[in-house]
Amino acid sequence: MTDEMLLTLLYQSPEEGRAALFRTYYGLVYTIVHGRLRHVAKREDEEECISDVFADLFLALDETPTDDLRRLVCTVASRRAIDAWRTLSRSFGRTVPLEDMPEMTSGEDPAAAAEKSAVQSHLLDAIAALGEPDATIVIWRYWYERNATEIAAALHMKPAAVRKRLSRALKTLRGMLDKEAL
Amino acid sequence: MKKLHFPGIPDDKAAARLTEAAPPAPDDILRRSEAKYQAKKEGLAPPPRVRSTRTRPLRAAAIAACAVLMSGVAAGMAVYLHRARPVSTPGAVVPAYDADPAWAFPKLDLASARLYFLVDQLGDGPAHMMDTPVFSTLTPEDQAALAEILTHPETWEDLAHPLDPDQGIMMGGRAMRLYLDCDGLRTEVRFYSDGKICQVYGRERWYIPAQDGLFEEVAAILDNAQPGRPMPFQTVEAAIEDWPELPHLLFDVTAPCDLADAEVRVMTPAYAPCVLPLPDAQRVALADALTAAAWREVAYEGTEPDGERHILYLDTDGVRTTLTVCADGTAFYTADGVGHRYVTSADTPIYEAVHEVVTYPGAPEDLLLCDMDAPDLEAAVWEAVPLETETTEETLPATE
Repeated sequence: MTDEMLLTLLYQSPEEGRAALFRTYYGLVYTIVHGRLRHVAKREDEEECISDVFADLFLALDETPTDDLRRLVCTVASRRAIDAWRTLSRSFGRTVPLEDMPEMTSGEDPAAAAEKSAVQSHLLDAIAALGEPDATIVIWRYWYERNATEIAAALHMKPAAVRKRLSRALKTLRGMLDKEAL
Repeated sequence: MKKLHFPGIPDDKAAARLTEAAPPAPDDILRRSEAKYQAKKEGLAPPPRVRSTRTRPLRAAAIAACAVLMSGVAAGMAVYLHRARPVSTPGAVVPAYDADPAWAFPKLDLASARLYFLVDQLGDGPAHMMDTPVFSTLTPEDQAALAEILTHPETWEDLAHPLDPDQGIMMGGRAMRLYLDCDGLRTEVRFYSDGKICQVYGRERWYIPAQDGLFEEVAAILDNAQPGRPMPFQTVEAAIEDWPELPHLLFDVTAPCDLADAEVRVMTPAYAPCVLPLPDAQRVALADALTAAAWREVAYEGTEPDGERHILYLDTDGVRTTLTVCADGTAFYTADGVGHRYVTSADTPIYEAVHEVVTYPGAPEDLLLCDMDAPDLEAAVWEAVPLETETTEETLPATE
Protein backbone atom coordinates (compact mmCIF):
# COMPACT_ATOMS: atom_id res chain seq x y z
CA MET A 1 0.00 0.00 0.00
CA THR A 2 1.46 3.39 -0.96
CA ASP A 3 1.81 6.32 1.42
CA GLU A 4 -0.85 8.20 -0.51
CA MET A 5 -3.34 5.34 -0.10
CA LEU A 6 -2.48 5.03 3.57
CA LEU A 7 -3.03 8.72 4.18
CA THR A 8 -6.34 8.60 2.36
CA LEU A 9 -7.44 5.60 4.38
CA LEU A 10 -6.32 7.27 7.61
CA TYR A 11 -8.49 10.25 6.72
CA GLN A 12 -11.55 8.25 5.64
CA SER A 13 -11.41 5.45 8.19
CA PRO A 14 -8.86 6.18 10.93
CA GLU A 15 -9.02 2.78 12.62
CA GLU A 16 -8.53 0.84 9.41
CA GLY A 17 -5.89 3.33 8.36
CA ARG A 18 -3.92 2.79 11.57
CA ALA A 19 -4.06 -0.98 11.11
CA ALA A 20 -2.90 -0.61 7.50
CA LEU A 21 -0.11 1.72 8.56
CA PHE A 22 0.97 -0.82 11.18
CA ARG A 23 1.04 -3.69 8.69
CA THR A 24 2.82 -1.63 6.05
CA TYR A 25 5.53 -0.20 8.27
CA TYR A 26 5.91 -2.87 10.94
CA GLY A 27 8.90 -4.41 9.12
CA LEU A 28 10.75 -1.11 8.88
CA VAL A 29 10.03 -0.17 12.48
CA TYR A 30 11.05 -3.61 13.69
CA THR A 31 14.27 -3.42 11.71
CA ILE A 32 15.16 -0.04 13.19
CA VAL A 33 14.20 -0.95 16.75
CA HIS A 34 15.91 -4.32 16.63
CA GLY A 35 19.02 -2.78 15.07
CA ARG A 36 19.29 -0.42 18.00
CA LEU A 37 18.23 -2.69 20.86
CA ARG A 38 19.45 -6.10 19.82
CA HIS A 39 22.34 -6.12 22.31
CA VAL A 40 20.46 -4.82 25.33
CA ALA A 41 16.84 -5.82 25.03
CA LYS A 42 14.75 -8.90 25.18
CA ARG A 43 11.97 -9.64 22.72
CA GLU A 44 9.32 -8.18 25.06
CA ASP A 45 11.29 -4.95 25.38
CA GLU A 46 11.55 -4.62 21.63
CA GLU A 47 7.85 -5.29 21.17
CA GLU A 48 7.03 -2.75 23.85
CA CYS A 49 9.18 -0.21 22.06
CA ILE A 50 7.52 -1.00 18.72
CA SER A 51 4.07 -0.47 20.22
CA ASP A 52 5.29 2.86 21.63
CA VAL A 53 6.51 3.86 18.18
CA PHE A 54 3.17 3.16 16.56
CA ALA A 55 1.25 4.87 19.37
CA ASP A 56 3.43 7.95 18.81
CA LEU A 57 2.92 7.71 15.07
CA PHE A 58 -0.86 7.47 15.37
CA LEU A 59 -0.86 10.50 17.62
CA ALA A 60 1.53 12.45 15.40
CA LEU A 61 -0.61 11.77 12.35
CA ASP A 62 -3.67 13.03 14.20
CA GLU A 63 -1.94 16.24 15.14
CA THR A 64 0.34 16.98 12.20
CA PRO A 65 -0.53 15.42 8.88
CA THR A 66 2.49 14.69 6.72
CA ASP A 67 3.04 13.64 3.15
CA ASP A 68 6.28 11.82 3.90
CA LEU A 69 5.18 8.89 6.01
CA ARG A 70 8.38 6.90 5.63
CA ARG A 71 10.54 9.68 6.98
CA LEU A 72 8.19 10.22 9.90
CA VAL A 73 8.19 6.50 10.69
CA CYS A 74 12.00 6.32 10.57
CA THR A 75 12.44 9.37 12.76
CA VAL A 76 9.95 8.32 15.41
CA ALA A 77 11.25 4.75 15.43
CA SER A 78 14.89 5.70 15.78
CA ARG A 79 14.17 8.25 18.53
CA ARG A 80 12.01 5.83 20.48
CA ALA A 81 14.61 3.08 20.04
CA ILE A 82 17.37 5.32 21.34
CA ASP A 83 15.24 6.24 24.36
CA ALA A 84 14.54 2.60 25.05
CA TRP A 85 18.20 1.75 24.59
CA ARG A 86 19.17 4.39 27.17
CA THR A 87 16.61 3.14 29.66
CA LEU A 88 17.50 -0.50 29.23
CA SER A 89 21.23 0.12 29.34
CA ARG A 90 20.79 2.06 32.55
CA SER A 91 18.58 -0.54 34.19
CA PHE A 92 20.96 -3.24 33.03
CA GLY A 93 23.63 -1.64 35.19
CA ARG A 94 25.92 -0.65 32.39
CA THR A 95 27.76 2.56 31.86
CA VAL A 96 27.21 3.82 28.37
CA PRO A 97 30.35 5.13 26.73
CA LEU A 98 29.85 8.44 24.98
CA GLU A 99 31.16 7.12 21.71
CA ASP A 100 28.44 4.45 21.72
CA MET A 101 25.72 7.07 21.70
CA PRO A 102 24.77 7.37 18.08
CA GLU A 103 23.23 10.80 18.34
CA MET A 104 26.31 12.17 20.07
CA THR A 105 28.83 11.14 17.43
CA SER A 106 29.44 13.55 14.63
CA GLY A 107 28.56 11.01 11.96
CA GLU A 108 31.09 12.77 9.78
CA ASP A 109 33.49 9.96 9.04
CA PRO A 110 32.56 9.41 5.41
CA ALA A 111 35.37 6.94 4.66
CA ALA A 112 34.60 4.56 7.52
CA ALA A 113 30.86 4.90 7.05
CA ALA A 114 31.12 4.24 3.33
CA GLU A 115 33.34 1.20 3.86
CA LYS A 116 31.06 -0.27 6.52
CA SER A 117 28.03 0.42 4.42
CA ALA A 118 29.64 -1.16 1.35
CA VAL A 119 30.63 -4.29 3.25
CA GLN A 120 27.18 -4.68 4.78
CA SER A 121 25.44 -4.06 1.49
CA HIS A 122 27.73 -6.55 -0.19
CA LEU A 123 27.01 -9.15 2.47
CA LEU A 124 23.27 -8.61 2.11
CA ASP A 125 23.62 -8.93 -1.67
CA ALA A 126 25.41 -12.22 -1.18
CA ILE A 127 22.74 -13.42 1.25
CA ALA A 128 20.02 -12.48 -1.25
CA ALA A 129 21.88 -14.46 -3.90
CA LEU A 130 21.42 -17.59 -1.79
CA GLY A 131 17.78 -17.56 -2.85
CA GLU A 132 14.77 -18.44 -0.75
CA PRO A 133 14.23 -19.76 1.82
CA ASP A 134 17.95 -19.74 2.67
CA ALA A 135 18.27 -15.94 2.59
CA THR A 136 15.36 -15.55 4.99
CA ILE A 137 16.74 -18.29 7.26
CA VAL A 138 20.16 -16.60 7.45
CA ILE A 139 18.69 -13.15 8.14
CA TRP A 140 16.23 -14.44 10.71
CA ARG A 141 18.92 -16.43 12.47
CA TYR A 142 21.74 -13.90 12.53
CA TRP A 143 20.03 -10.52 12.29
CA TYR A 144 16.69 -11.12 13.97
CA GLU A 145 18.18 -13.76 16.31
CA ARG A 146 15.38 -16.27 15.93
CA ASN A 147 16.20 -19.87 16.79
CA ALA A 148 15.77 -22.84 14.51
CA THR A 149 12.45 -23.81 16.10
CA GLU A 150 10.92 -20.37 15.55
CA ILE A 151 12.20 -20.17 11.99
CA ALA A 152 10.94 -23.67 11.28
CA ALA A 153 7.47 -22.80 12.59
CA ALA A 154 7.26 -19.67 10.45
CA LEU A 155 8.51 -21.37 7.30
CA HIS A 156 6.60 -24.62 7.86
CA MET A 157 9.79 -26.67 8.04
CA LYS A 158 11.38 -28.98 10.58
CA PRO A 159 14.01 -27.48 12.91
CA ALA A 160 16.55 -30.04 11.73
CA ALA A 161 15.89 -29.00 8.13
CA VAL A 162 16.39 -25.35 9.08
CA ARG A 163 19.69 -26.15 10.75
CA LYS A 164 20.79 -28.17 7.77
CA ARG A 165 19.84 -25.41 5.33
CA LEU A 166 21.56 -22.85 7.52
CA SER A 167 24.73 -24.87 7.62
CA ARG A 168 24.77 -25.28 3.85
CA ALA A 169 23.84 -21.65 3.27
CA LEU A 170 26.75 -20.49 5.41
CA LYS A 171 29.11 -22.72 3.52
CA THR A 172 27.82 -21.40 0.21
CA LEU A 173 28.04 -17.84 1.48
CA ARG A 174 31.59 -18.37 2.64
CA GLY A 175 32.48 -19.79 -0.77
CA MET A 176 30.88 -16.87 -2.59
CA LEU A 177 32.66 -14.28 -0.47
CA ASP A 178 35.99 -16.10 -0.69
CA LYS A 179 35.69 -16.25 -4.47
CA GLU A 180 34.92 -12.55 -4.66
CA ALA A 181 37.77 -11.72 -2.30
CA LEU A 182 40.17 -13.51 -4.65
CA MET B 1 19.25 17.37 2.24
CA LYS B 2 20.88 15.57 5.14
CA LYS B 3 20.37 11.85 4.96
CA LEU B 4 18.64 10.33 7.97
CA HIS B 5 20.87 8.13 10.05
CA PHE B 6 19.25 4.95 11.31
CA PRO B 7 21.16 3.56 14.25
CA GLY B 8 22.17 -0.01 13.65
CA ILE B 9 21.06 -0.01 10.06
CA PRO B 10 23.73 0.29 7.45
CA ASP B 11 21.97 2.22 4.69
CA ASP B 12 18.66 2.54 2.89
CA LYS B 13 19.35 -0.39 0.61
CA ALA B 14 20.32 -2.67 3.45
CA ALA B 15 17.41 -1.43 5.54
CA ALA B 16 15.08 -2.27 2.68
CA ARG B 17 16.50 -5.79 2.47
CA LEU B 18 16.20 -6.37 6.19
CA THR B 19 12.74 -4.86 6.24
CA GLU B 20 11.61 -7.22 3.48
CA ALA B 21 12.82 -10.16 5.52
CA ALA B 22 11.36 -8.95 8.82
CA PRO B 23 9.10 -11.38 10.67
CA PRO B 24 5.37 -10.86 10.15
CA ALA B 25 3.50 -8.20 12.14
CA PRO B 26 1.84 -9.67 15.24
CA ASP B 27 -1.69 -8.44 15.97
CA ASP B 28 -1.09 -8.14 19.69
CA ILE B 29 1.43 -5.35 19.12
CA LEU B 30 -1.13 -3.50 17.01
CA ARG B 31 -3.66 -3.88 19.83
CA ARG B 32 -1.14 -2.58 22.34
CA SER B 33 -0.27 0.37 20.10
CA GLU B 34 -3.98 1.17 19.76
CA ALA B 35 -4.48 0.99 23.51
CA LYS B 36 -1.54 3.32 24.16
CA TYR B 37 -2.69 5.69 21.46
CA GLN B 38 -6.22 5.85 22.85
CA ALA B 39 -4.89 6.37 26.39
CA LYS B 40 -2.63 9.23 25.29
CA LYS B 41 -5.35 10.79 23.21
CA GLU B 42 -7.83 10.78 26.05
CA GLY B 43 -5.27 11.73 28.67
CA LEU B 44 -5.65 8.46 30.56
CA ALA B 45 -2.99 6.40 32.25
CA PRO B 46 -1.11 4.22 29.77
CA PRO B 47 -1.82 0.49 29.84
CA PRO B 48 0.64 -1.55 31.90
CA ARG B 49 3.85 -2.35 30.12
CA VAL B 50 4.77 -5.90 29.33
CA ARG B 51 7.26 -6.84 31.94
CA SER B 52 10.62 -7.98 30.79
CA THR B 53 11.96 -10.66 33.05
CA ARG B 54 15.10 -8.70 33.72
CA THR B 55 14.97 -7.25 37.20
CA ARG B 56 14.90 -3.50 37.18
CA PRO B 57 16.06 -1.61 40.28
CA LEU B 58 12.91 0.39 41.01
CA ARG B 59 10.60 -2.47 40.27
CA ALA B 60 12.77 -4.80 42.33
CA ALA B 61 12.59 -2.37 45.24
CA ALA B 62 8.81 -2.16 44.96
CA ILE B 63 8.51 -5.92 44.77
CA ALA B 64 10.83 -6.34 47.73
CA ALA B 65 8.66 -3.96 49.79
CA CYS B 66 5.56 -5.95 48.89
CA ALA B 67 7.45 -9.13 49.64
CA VAL B 68 7.95 -8.11 53.26
CA LEU B 69 4.20 -7.78 53.64
CA MET B 70 3.37 -10.92 51.74
CA SER B 71 6.04 -13.30 52.94
CA GLY B 72 4.40 -13.93 56.31
CA VAL B 73 1.14 -14.86 54.62
CA ALA B 74 2.92 -17.04 52.08
CA ALA B 75 5.01 -18.84 54.67
CA GLY B 76 1.96 -19.46 56.84
CA MET B 77 0.09 -20.92 53.94
CA ALA B 78 3.03 -23.13 53.03
CA VAL B 79 3.22 -24.54 56.53
CA TYR B 80 -0.54 -25.06 56.54
CA LEU B 81 -0.63 -26.82 53.25
CA HIS B 82 2.57 -28.67 54.13
CA ARG B 83 3.28 -29.21 50.54
CA ALA B 84 3.59 -27.13 47.46
CA ARG B 85 1.07 -26.67 44.77
CA PRO B 86 2.17 -28.30 41.56
CA VAL B 87 3.51 -25.56 39.33
CA SER B 88 3.45 -26.49 35.73
CA THR B 89 5.83 -25.83 32.95
CA PRO B 90 3.79 -26.23 29.77
CA GLY B 91 3.79 -29.83 28.70
CA ALA B 92 5.43 -31.12 31.83
CA VAL B 93 3.91 -32.93 34.78
CA VAL B 94 5.31 -31.48 37.97
CA PRO B 95 5.28 -33.73 41.01
CA ALA B 96 3.72 -32.37 44.16
CA TYR B 97 6.12 -31.91 47.03
CA ASP B 98 5.49 -34.00 50.09
CA ALA B 99 6.43 -33.70 53.71
CA ASP B 100 9.65 -35.66 53.33
CA PRO B 101 12.56 -33.47 54.40
CA ALA B 102 14.43 -34.89 51.44
CA TRP B 103 11.81 -33.32 49.26
CA ALA B 104 14.20 -31.61 46.91
CA PHE B 105 14.21 -33.55 43.66
CA PRO B 106 11.73 -35.96 45.28
CA LYS B 107 10.75 -37.71 42.11
CA LEU B 108 13.52 -36.61 39.82
CA ASP B 109 16.13 -39.11 38.78
CA LEU B 110 18.90 -36.59 38.76
CA ALA B 111 21.55 -39.13 37.86
CA SER B 112 19.92 -39.77 34.51
CA ALA B 113 18.67 -36.22 33.89
CA ARG B 114 19.99 -34.03 31.17
CA LEU B 115 21.83 -31.42 33.13
CA TYR B 116 23.39 -28.13 32.14
CA PHE B 117 24.67 -25.51 34.44
CA LEU B 118 25.72 -21.92 34.39
CA VAL B 119 27.93 -20.19 36.92
CA ASP B 120 26.98 -16.60 37.53
CA GLN B 121 29.20 -14.07 39.14
CA LEU B 122 26.96 -11.50 40.74
CA GLY B 123 27.78 -8.29 42.53
CA ASP B 124 31.50 -8.23 43.11
CA GLY B 125 32.36 -10.46 40.16
CA PRO B 126 33.85 -9.19 36.94
CA ALA B 127 31.21 -7.75 34.67
CA HIS B 128 32.30 -9.72 31.63
CA MET B 129 31.12 -12.92 33.23
CA MET B 130 27.61 -11.54 33.12
CA ASP B 131 28.04 -10.49 29.52
CA THR B 132 29.33 -13.78 28.23
CA PRO B 133 28.32 -16.55 30.59
CA VAL B 134 29.13 -20.12 29.76
CA PHE B 135 26.89 -23.13 30.05
CA SER B 136 28.81 -26.19 31.09
CA THR B 137 28.13 -29.88 31.37
CA LEU B 138 29.25 -32.58 33.78
CA THR B 139 30.70 -36.00 33.20
CA PRO B 140 28.30 -38.84 34.10
CA GLU B 141 30.43 -39.65 37.15
CA ASP B 142 30.30 -36.10 38.48
CA GLN B 143 26.58 -35.90 37.75
CA ALA B 144 26.04 -39.08 39.74
CA ALA B 145 28.06 -37.62 42.62
CA LEU B 146 25.98 -34.45 42.50
CA ALA B 147 22.78 -36.49 42.46
CA GLU B 148 23.92 -38.36 45.54
CA ILE B 149 24.54 -35.15 47.46
CA LEU B 150 21.31 -33.48 46.41
CA THR B 151 19.11 -36.45 47.10
CA HIS B 152 20.68 -37.37 50.42
CA PRO B 153 18.06 -36.98 53.18
CA GLU B 154 20.44 -35.15 55.48
CA THR B 155 21.19 -32.51 52.91
CA TRP B 156 17.92 -30.74 53.51
CA GLU B 157 17.04 -29.35 56.90
CA ASP B 158 13.43 -28.41 56.51
CA LEU B 159 10.46 -28.21 54.21
CA ALA B 160 10.48 -25.95 51.24
CA HIS B 161 8.45 -22.80 51.16
CA PRO B 162 7.61 -20.34 48.42
CA LEU B 163 10.17 -17.69 47.69
CA ASP B 164 9.39 -14.19 46.63
CA PRO B 165 10.37 -13.53 43.02
CA ASP B 166 13.35 -11.39 44.00
CA GLN B 167 14.18 -12.80 47.38
CA GLY B 168 16.78 -15.24 46.15
CA ILE B 169 18.87 -12.81 44.19
CA MET B 170 22.13 -11.94 45.87
CA MET B 171 23.99 -8.74 45.32
CA GLY B 172 27.41 -10.23 45.98
CA GLY B 173 29.22 -13.52 45.94
CA ARG B 174 28.84 -16.45 43.67
CA ALA B 175 25.76 -18.10 42.31
CA MET B 176 25.33 -21.25 40.32
CA ARG B 177 22.36 -22.29 38.26
CA LEU B 178 21.60 -25.86 37.29
CA TYR B 179 19.14 -26.67 34.56
CA LEU B 180 17.63 -30.13 34.75
CA ASP B 181 15.51 -32.01 32.31
CA CYS B 182 14.15 -35.27 33.72
CA ASP B 183 11.92 -36.92 31.15
CA GLY B 184 10.41 -33.61 30.12
CA LEU B 185 10.11 -32.19 33.64
CA ARG B 186 12.28 -29.14 33.65
CA THR B 187 13.47 -27.28 36.68
CA GLU B 188 16.15 -24.81 37.52
CA VAL B 189 18.06 -24.92 40.79
CA ARG B 190 19.99 -21.91 42.02
CA PHE B 191 22.69 -22.13 44.65
CA TYR B 192 23.86 -18.95 46.28
CA SER B 193 27.08 -18.72 48.22
CA ASP B 194 25.23 -17.23 51.20
CA GLY B 195 23.55 -20.61 51.61
CA LYS B 196 20.28 -19.82 49.85
CA ILE B 197 19.01 -22.38 47.42
CA CYS B 198 15.93 -22.13 45.34
CA GLN B 199 14.27 -24.37 42.85
CA VAL B 200 12.36 -22.78 40.01
CA TYR B 201 9.34 -24.13 38.20
CA GLY B 202 8.41 -21.75 35.43
CA ARG B 203 8.01 -18.39 37.17
CA GLU B 204 7.61 -19.73 40.69
CA ARG B 205 10.46 -20.31 43.07
CA TRP B 206 10.74 -22.42 46.17
CA TYR B 207 13.26 -21.90 48.90
CA ILE B 208 15.14 -24.94 50.09
CA PRO B 209 16.80 -24.68 53.52
CA ALA B 210 19.98 -26.69 53.23
CA GLN B 211 22.81 -27.67 55.49
CA ASP B 212 25.84 -25.46 55.80
CA GLY B 213 28.57 -26.25 53.34
CA LEU B 214 26.31 -27.54 50.58
CA PHE B 215 27.36 -24.75 48.26
CA GLU B 216 31.02 -25.65 48.64
CA GLU B 217 30.29 -29.35 48.05
CA VAL B 218 28.35 -28.60 44.90
CA ALA B 219 30.91 -26.05 43.73
CA ALA B 220 33.70 -28.60 44.12
CA ILE B 221 31.90 -30.92 41.72
CA LEU B 222 30.92 -28.23 39.27
CA ASP B 223 34.49 -26.98 39.10
CA ASN B 224 35.32 -30.16 37.17
CA ALA B 225 32.77 -29.43 34.47
CA GLN B 226 33.52 -28.97 30.83
CA PRO B 227 32.82 -25.39 29.85
CA GLY B 228 30.72 -24.84 26.78
CA ARG B 229 30.97 -21.88 24.49
CA PRO B 230 30.28 -18.38 25.79
CA MET B 231 27.07 -16.77 24.65
CA PRO B 232 25.58 -13.29 25.01
CA PHE B 233 23.75 -12.71 28.24
CA GLN B 234 20.55 -11.82 26.40
CA THR B 235 20.66 -15.22 24.73
CA VAL B 236 21.01 -16.89 28.09
CA GLU B 237 18.15 -14.85 29.49
CA ALA B 238 16.01 -15.86 26.54
CA ALA B 239 17.01 -19.46 27.06
CA ILE B 240 16.04 -19.29 30.69
CA GLU B 241 12.65 -17.88 29.79
CA ASP B 242 12.16 -20.17 26.85
CA TRP B 243 13.45 -23.18 28.67
CA PRO B 244 12.57 -25.80 26.05
CA GLU B 245 14.97 -24.04 23.70
CA LEU B 246 17.95 -24.42 25.97
CA PRO B 247 19.18 -27.70 24.54
CA HIS B 248 19.02 -26.22 21.07
CA LEU B 249 21.05 -23.25 22.17
CA LEU B 250 23.65 -25.44 23.66
CA PHE B 251 23.94 -27.48 20.53
CA ASP B 252 23.90 -24.88 17.84
CA VAL B 253 27.23 -25.52 16.20
CA THR B 254 27.39 -26.96 12.72
CA ALA B 255 29.25 -30.20 12.04
CA PRO B 256 33.01 -29.78 12.26
CA CYS B 257 33.55 -31.18 8.78
CA ASP B 258 31.66 -31.61 5.55
CA LEU B 259 31.85 -34.88 3.70
CA ALA B 260 30.30 -33.45 0.54
CA ASP B 261 33.61 -32.90 -1.27
CA ALA B 262 35.74 -35.41 0.58
CA GLU B 263 36.99 -38.89 -0.13
CA VAL B 264 36.14 -40.95 2.92
CA ARG B 265 37.55 -44.09 4.47
CA VAL B 266 35.83 -45.58 7.47
CA MET B 267 36.94 -47.87 10.23
CA THR B 268 34.04 -49.09 12.32
CA PRO B 269 33.77 -51.65 15.13
CA ALA B 270 31.65 -53.81 12.82
CA TYR B 271 34.47 -54.27 10.31
CA ALA B 272 37.68 -53.48 12.25
CA PRO B 273 40.52 -53.97 11.56
CA CYS B 274 39.40 -53.52 7.97
CA VAL B 275 38.95 -50.15 6.39
CA LEU B 276 36.11 -49.35 4.02
CA PRO B 277 35.92 -46.90 1.17
CA LEU B 278 32.60 -45.06 1.28
CA PRO B 279 30.49 -45.17 -1.89
CA ASP B 280 28.83 -41.92 -2.98
CA ALA B 281 25.36 -42.86 -1.76
CA GLN B 282 26.65 -43.69 1.71
CA ARG B 283 28.87 -40.61 1.75
CA VAL B 284 25.88 -38.36 0.98
CA ALA B 285 23.76 -40.10 3.62
CA LEU B 286 26.55 -39.75 6.15
CA ALA B 287 27.06 -36.08 5.24
CA ASP B 288 23.35 -35.49 5.82
CA ALA B 289 23.49 -37.29 9.18
CA LEU B 290 26.44 -35.17 10.32
CA THR B 291 24.80 -31.95 9.15
CA ALA B 292 21.48 -32.76 10.79
CA ALA B 293 23.13 -33.54 14.12
CA ALA B 294 23.47 -30.84 16.76
CA TRP B 295 27.07 -30.24 17.82
CA ARG B 296 28.76 -28.32 20.55
CA GLU B 297 32.47 -27.79 20.88
CA VAL B 298 33.90 -28.35 24.35
CA ALA B 299 37.38 -28.20 25.81
CA TYR B 300 39.78 -30.84 24.48
CA GLU B 301 42.45 -32.09 26.82
CA GLY B 302 44.14 -34.52 24.46
CA THR B 303 42.56 -37.72 25.70
CA GLU B 304 39.70 -39.70 24.23
CA PRO B 305 37.30 -41.96 26.10
CA ASP B 306 37.60 -45.73 25.97
CA GLY B 307 35.02 -47.75 24.13
CA GLU B 308 33.80 -48.33 20.63
CA ARG B 309 34.11 -45.67 17.97
CA HIS B 310 33.81 -44.99 14.28
CA ILE B 311 36.76 -43.31 12.66
CA LEU B 312 36.22 -41.36 9.46
CA TYR B 313 39.33 -40.54 7.47
CA LEU B 314 38.70 -37.61 5.13
CA ASP B 315 40.70 -36.33 2.19
CA THR B 316 39.46 -33.01 0.81
CA ASP B 317 41.66 -31.91 -2.08
CA GLY B 318 44.71 -33.42 -0.45
CA VAL B 319 43.95 -32.11 3.04
CA ARG B 320 43.58 -35.08 5.34
CA THR B 321 41.59 -34.92 8.56
CA THR B 322 39.91 -37.43 10.86
CA LEU B 323 36.62 -37.47 12.68
CA THR B 324 36.23 -39.96 15.51
CA VAL B 325 32.66 -40.58 16.65
CA CYS B 326 32.46 -42.29 20.04
CA ALA B 327 29.60 -44.35 21.38
CA ASP B 328 29.00 -41.88 24.25
CA GLY B 329 28.07 -39.11 21.81
CA THR B 330 31.39 -37.30 21.88
CA ALA B 331 33.36 -36.71 18.71
CA PHE B 332 36.93 -35.69 18.02
CA TYR B 333 37.97 -33.85 14.91
CA THR B 334 41.64 -33.55 14.08
CA ALA B 335 43.00 -31.27 11.38
CA ASP B 336 46.63 -30.19 10.96
CA GLY B 337 47.49 -32.05 14.13
CA VAL B 338 45.08 -29.92 16.18
CA GLY B 339 42.32 -31.79 18.01
CA HIS B 340 38.84 -30.49 18.71
CA ARG B 341 36.32 -32.18 20.97
CA TYR B 342 32.57 -32.04 20.44
CA VAL B 343 29.53 -33.36 22.18
CA THR B 344 26.40 -34.10 20.20
CA SER B 345 22.81 -33.81 21.27
CA ALA B 346 21.10 -36.95 22.47
CA ASP B 347 18.27 -35.99 20.11
CA THR B 348 20.51 -36.74 17.17
CA PRO B 349 22.49 -39.87 18.08
CA ILE B 350 25.33 -39.55 15.65
CA TYR B 351 27.11 -42.79 16.62
CA GLU B 352 24.03 -44.81 15.73
CA ALA B 353 23.55 -42.78 12.54
CA VAL B 354 27.07 -43.65 11.35
CA HIS B 355 26.52 -47.28 12.32
CA GLU B 356 23.36 -47.44 10.21
CA VAL B 357 24.85 -45.75 7.19
CA VAL B 358 28.17 -47.54 6.96
CA THR B 359 27.68 -51.00 5.52
CA TYR B 360 29.79 -53.13 3.27
CA PRO B 361 27.82 -54.70 0.48
CA GLY B 362 30.60 -57.01 -0.75
CA ALA B 363 31.86 -60.31 0.54
CA PRO B 364 33.67 -60.17 3.91
CA GLU B 365 36.81 -61.71 2.39
CA ASP B 366 37.08 -58.73 0.04
CA LEU B 367 37.50 -56.28 2.90
CA LEU B 368 40.84 -54.52 2.92
CA LEU B 369 42.91 -55.08 6.00
CA CYS B 370 44.71 -52.19 7.55
CA ASP B 371 47.98 -52.52 9.43
CA MET B 372 46.76 -51.57 12.88
CA ASP B 373 50.31 -51.68 14.27
CA ALA B 374 51.63 -49.14 11.78
CA PRO B 375 53.28 -46.17 13.47
CA ASP B 376 51.11 -43.80 11.42
CA LEU B 377 47.67 -45.37 11.37
CA GLU B 378 46.20 -42.62 9.19
CA ALA B 379 48.83 -43.21 6.49
CA ALA B 380 48.23 -46.95 6.77
CA VAL B 381 44.52 -46.43 6.14
CA TRP B 382 45.10 -44.43 2.98
CA GLU B 383 47.67 -46.97 1.91
CA ALA B 384 45.16 -49.79 2.37
CA VAL B 385 42.54 -48.02 0.25
CA PRO B 386 44.28 -45.31 -1.77
CA LEU B 387 42.54 -42.41 -3.41
CA GLU B 388 40.99 -43.11 -6.80
CA THR B 389 43.32 -40.61 -8.47
CA GLU B 390 46.36 -42.32 -6.93
CA THR B 391 45.12 -45.66 -8.18
CA THR B 392 44.63 -44.25 -11.68
CA GLU B 393 48.10 -42.74 -11.74
CA GLU B 394 49.64 -46.01 -10.70
CA THR B 395 47.84 -47.96 -13.37
CA LEU B 396 48.69 -45.56 -16.23
CA PRO B 397 52.24 -46.81 -16.93
CA ALA B 398 51.01 -50.37 -16.97
CA THR B 399 48.41 -49.44 -19.61
CA GLU B 400 51.04 -47.79 -21.77
